Amino acid sequence: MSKNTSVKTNRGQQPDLDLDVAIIGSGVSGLYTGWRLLTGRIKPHGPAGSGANAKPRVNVFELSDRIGGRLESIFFDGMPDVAAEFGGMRYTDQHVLVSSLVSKLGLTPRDFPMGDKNNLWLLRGERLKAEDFSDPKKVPYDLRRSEKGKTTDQLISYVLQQVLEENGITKLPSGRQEWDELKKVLKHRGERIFKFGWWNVILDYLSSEAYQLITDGGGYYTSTMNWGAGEAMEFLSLDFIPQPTYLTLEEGYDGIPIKLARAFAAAGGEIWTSNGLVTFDHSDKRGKPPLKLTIQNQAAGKQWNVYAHNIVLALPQRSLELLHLSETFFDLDREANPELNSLVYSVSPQPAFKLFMGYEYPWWQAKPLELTSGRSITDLPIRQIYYFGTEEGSKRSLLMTSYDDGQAVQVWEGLGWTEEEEKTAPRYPAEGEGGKGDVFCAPPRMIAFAQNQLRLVHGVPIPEPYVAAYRDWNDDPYGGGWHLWNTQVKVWDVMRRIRKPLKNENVFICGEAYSGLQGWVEGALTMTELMLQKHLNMEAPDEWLPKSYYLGY
Amino acid sequence: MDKEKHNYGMQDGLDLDVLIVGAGVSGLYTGWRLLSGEHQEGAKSARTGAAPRVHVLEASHRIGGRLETLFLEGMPHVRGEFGGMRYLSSHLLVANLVNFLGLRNTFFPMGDGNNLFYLRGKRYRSSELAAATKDKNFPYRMAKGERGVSPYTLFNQVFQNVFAAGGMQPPNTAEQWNYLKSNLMYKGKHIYDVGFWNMMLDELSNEGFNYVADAGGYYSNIVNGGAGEGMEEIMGDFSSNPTYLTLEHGYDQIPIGLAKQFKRYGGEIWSRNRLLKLERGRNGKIKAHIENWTHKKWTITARHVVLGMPRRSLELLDQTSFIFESGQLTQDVATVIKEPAHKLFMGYESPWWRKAPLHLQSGEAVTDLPIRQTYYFGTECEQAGGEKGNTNSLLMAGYNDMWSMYFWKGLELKDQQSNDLEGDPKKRKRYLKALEQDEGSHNPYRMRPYKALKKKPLSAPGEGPGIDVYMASEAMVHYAQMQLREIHGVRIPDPYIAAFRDWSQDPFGAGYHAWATNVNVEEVMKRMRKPLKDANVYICGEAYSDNQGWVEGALTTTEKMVQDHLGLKWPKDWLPEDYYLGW
Repeated sequence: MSKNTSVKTNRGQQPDLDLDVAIIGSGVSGLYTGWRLLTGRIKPHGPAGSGANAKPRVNVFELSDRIGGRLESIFFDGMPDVAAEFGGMRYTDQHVLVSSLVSKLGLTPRDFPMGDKNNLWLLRGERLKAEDFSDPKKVPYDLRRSEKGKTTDQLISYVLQQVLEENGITKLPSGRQEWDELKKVLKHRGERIFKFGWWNVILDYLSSEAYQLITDGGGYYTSTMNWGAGEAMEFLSLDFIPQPTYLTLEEGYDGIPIKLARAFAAAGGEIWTSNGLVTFDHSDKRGKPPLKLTIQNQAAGKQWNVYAHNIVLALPQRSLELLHLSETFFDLDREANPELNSLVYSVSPQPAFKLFMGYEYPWWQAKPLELTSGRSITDLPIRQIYYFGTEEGSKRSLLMTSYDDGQAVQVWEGLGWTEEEEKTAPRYPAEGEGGKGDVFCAPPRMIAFAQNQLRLVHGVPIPEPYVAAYRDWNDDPYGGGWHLWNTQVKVWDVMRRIRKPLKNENVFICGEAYSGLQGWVEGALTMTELMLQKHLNMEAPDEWLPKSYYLGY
Repeated sequence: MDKEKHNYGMQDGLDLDVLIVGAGVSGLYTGWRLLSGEHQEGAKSARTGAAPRVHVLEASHRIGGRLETLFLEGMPHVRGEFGGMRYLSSHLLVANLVNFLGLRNTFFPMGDGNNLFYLRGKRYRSSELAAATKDKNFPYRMAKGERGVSPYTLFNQVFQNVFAAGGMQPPNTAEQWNYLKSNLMYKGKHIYDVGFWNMMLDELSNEGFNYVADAGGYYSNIVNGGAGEGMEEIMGDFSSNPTYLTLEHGYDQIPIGLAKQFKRYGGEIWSRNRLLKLERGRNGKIKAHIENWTHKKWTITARHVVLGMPRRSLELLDQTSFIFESGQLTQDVATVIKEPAHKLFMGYESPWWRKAPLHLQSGEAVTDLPIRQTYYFGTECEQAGGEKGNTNSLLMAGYNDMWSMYFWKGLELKDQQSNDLEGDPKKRKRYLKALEQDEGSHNPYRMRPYKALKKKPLSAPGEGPGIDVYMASEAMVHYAQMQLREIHGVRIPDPYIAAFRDWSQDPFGAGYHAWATNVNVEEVMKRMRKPLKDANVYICGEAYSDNQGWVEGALTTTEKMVQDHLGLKWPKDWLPEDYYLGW
């Protein structure tokens, strides 16, 4: 984002640097780890290596030229107050850690409005509004009698209730802690629920057509994918069905990592950008900390070494996979480290894609549409359209033209720049404006396709956009927009173990991928906070986070 | 099914002319051709004078790669084709090889007008589907011009329009296809730079597209890879009513027959030995680092190394191997899309699908349920040499790919999730225990246990202890039965046996492959066959062929490779000299 420039990072190198904690990845988890270690209270013995009462030496290493990871807010020309959220874009009022951190950092929350009765669905060629779902004749899915007239949320709630009933439970658990306990014992068809995928369970209670309606009409292909059924149930019941209040930040949602980075730097931390971790292993030098990291410096095209007592890998699965760890003690290969391998591969990354377009005026507000905010949903590859906002004065307006996942992503990938074209394609932010960006201006073919899909969904002529840009989170090193737990995985066990996957090695993993709230910053931070308290000897941050708040497994 | 004893041993320091990695059909074909074929004169030859020393290395306990025929209990003569299952009469290399090896072929019947489509909750006989699309209640709200035809006819119509718009004639031969794929322009772009799905959405309504995607049976059909390749695949394979053939004793008789011949000519196969890494050796030789199933490491040096491996297997090699040094091969390896595929077979005591009201004989039912395709395979007493009076019958209950296969993958038990190359006996015991426990508990939501659940995991008798086809869990059977009931609209008896194969597992990583967009397929195919100018390493097989998903693709690129790079002459004695082998 444009405000990125005000974070001081170091693109240089300092061979043979000694550290207490080397953090890999300057996404929200990595920066939170650094900030907490330098500004929080550490128990007397501290993270391994740092002397008694001494402030630990903590640095962050980042492969790319930007900080924020999967949070990335861009402000297009002419819309300095409307953030295009190419990554994570919001949190809910139930996300206590994020909310508390936002206050603590002095950021400015604002509502993330979800529209009204005018919002649209275009499913199987039929245009619907929310009220139409109660009229079975209007819904183009061949539903069973008991399924007719229900909204997608009601259909999901029905499945949840049925599974609970199977277990003799009549009331939905009210919070995360209750769910976490229940998931361990919940059964389906006489077996533990984690042995089933969510798609499997849905088809035990609903017709395939109802499943298609939930999938098409819910907006996401991945939320009805066949991921761990218990996890899906908790996720949907707490974060989607109750229609929580969504919030975001005036500064742009990547204001969180940016503020964390500034506070981290102010407390003496260093952030090395364009300095990616290549590999790490046991140290080979006497008198040096026990772990040796090899860092690739982009500018110099050279590798340099860092020595550390602790390594925090604040990385998702694909980034871990891209490290060159074969023949080190942290080899991810199944033959070499079967347990580590099974921990790392207990989740699956999910493809996700976002396309934003800017218009001279908010055409969706005019009659006959009268759309104000929130989203429209379709089974076309465009999937979800969000009406983001209008700049006061100029009236320039931002549309999240497509927010899509799963199999739809390949359709957009086919319209994006080729690898060859990418080398010269215009980006955001432009070079010299805080580094080489990784959001691409959309090629004309993509704009033409998107405009056509918008016309189909809205049934009106659409003016040409003056700006269009996209982000494909499938690209390395992310490998996906978010992650989902696989079936057959005991999440309570894996979450605990993966934070410190090898007993005798001070290497830690944290972040969204292996969290109890995947796809959310809250998941990334709760998992990271647990790692800090359990393995890096930090006291709970009672001064800004309610003591009673449940952090998860 | 292969009944041979294999060599699981090792011989550190072995020195060879040619080391072949992978005992799939490409690897074994290479070995057999090198030992039995006629060599060209001169420097190209892999021959050093006497018969070349050619050995094959194989990570698993069995040979055949993605061809795997099993005869399930109670049906000793009904082929369960867990991998590739058929070929087309136009696949001349396979057809002639089958002849030459003395294998007996037979028709792979595709049913009749009674076969079913079950789409969006509605059931149609295949004879009535095209007409039904004209009904205004047809569950796909397609544009007018898209109605009145079968899914493959609609595919065809789109392709014809695309050819015509580009000013080209519809191709009939593989040669014509290759010309078209290189030269056809679509909306100002080369057809290989256009995604297949993108092209389809330019030509059809979204609902028309959904119709061909669902009713076409394979989601891999519509993968957004190169549009030229996609059209050839669909038109050549499915939409021109081809004749399908298979082999009487199982389709894996090809690799098994090749392996027998290969050994007869003095070749050796090292099973359960995994290639880890390739290194440059002295005098231009190549050093292969190998791990035996006992975890002991050993090396072979060879003048030539042939990798008969798909994309994922290549990715599993140590990426510090010298062949990946320049980065070009790494890039080329990624030019194909891995298409995950899953097959579930179930055995019944009688062919319930034959009875009224179904009257289904053979071929498939296609549905948008996760099961996607069901094939009616056959009944024991009706097979050549089958047991009299034994009506046990085989159904390929589910054949599915891409995202639909995750419905089934999610039900694989923990120990079924990785292809157990080593056949760890402890693991096997745990696996058996898990299955037994499944049967133990009682719950109203469960189906009745089926008989064979307690039986041992499926690996061919007389073979090593490795497991790669697994017994389906009760949950997997439950969902399959539920969907079969829905598709057929009748009660279905419980199966007495059920087993599955997940080809997305390592080291295969996919059932089949498709070329991505923005790939010059001709160039990449040539480069794959010899990736490095200064090293005698070659890659062949289905993944980087121009007939992906078929044995014909695997063999044509392999034949090209042995002729262009290993000095073999055209096999005149059994293959017509004018047969076009592709790029």
